[in-house]
Amino acid sequence: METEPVATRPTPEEAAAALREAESAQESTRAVKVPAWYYPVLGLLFAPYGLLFVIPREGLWNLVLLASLAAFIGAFVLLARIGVNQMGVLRWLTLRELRPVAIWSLVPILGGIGLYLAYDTPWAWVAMTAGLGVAIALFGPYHRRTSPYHRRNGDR
Amino acid sequence: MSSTTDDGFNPTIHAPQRLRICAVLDAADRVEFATVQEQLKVSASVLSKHVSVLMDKGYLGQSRATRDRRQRVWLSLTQEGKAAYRAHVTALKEITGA
Repeated sequence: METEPVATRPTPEEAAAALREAESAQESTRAVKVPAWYYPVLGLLFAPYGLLFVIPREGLWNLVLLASLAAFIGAFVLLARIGVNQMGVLRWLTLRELRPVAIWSLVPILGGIGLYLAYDTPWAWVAMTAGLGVAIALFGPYHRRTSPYHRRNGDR
Repeated sequence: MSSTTDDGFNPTIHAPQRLRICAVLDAADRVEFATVQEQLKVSASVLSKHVSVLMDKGYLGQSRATRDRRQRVWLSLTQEGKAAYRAHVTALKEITGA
């Protein structure tokens, strides 16, 4: 019966074939692409985050700050949920896949830190997160074209 | 039949469809049932039978979420399932002599 355990051990050839099947199945899963809209929207959500640093820390502004933070987190969770539901797969990108955006992100991060050290202004963080938002938005199309798992099947 | 041999070979996982199911789920945190079905090109009833076998062994878990007003089933390997699958892959590699 199909659902019974396999009684006999495979030959080396059968084992090799089984391993190829398993690897093929894994590659197909890894090749499921993040929707084209996901990273641009994520970048757009992230870009204004630096404004939280210029909101005055007094009176009702504290409520604005808390509400903005809650809205940001809620929007991020909703975006992730919609993206995962559309893909049908929840898979974290590997360090190898994330390396490009990690490298690009050094520019706005170091730039923001440099601006803050030079001018002592919280607007440096606005510039930093805006730059990070651009890096994240650009990562999407780059990842869809260059991920080692995507080349096998073309667009999915 | 015991669920595994000393070298990690797992007769339950080794059935072709179940090996592929485990392979798909090992590549991600969770995969929707319909996506697994699409990846493996099997019917829902065939997939359900194999999912049940793996769940009975404690290798696979499922959760439900609503999408487009319909209940969707998401599948994932348990920690035990991941360990069993990876041990089985190691055993297969040893059989091939790789």
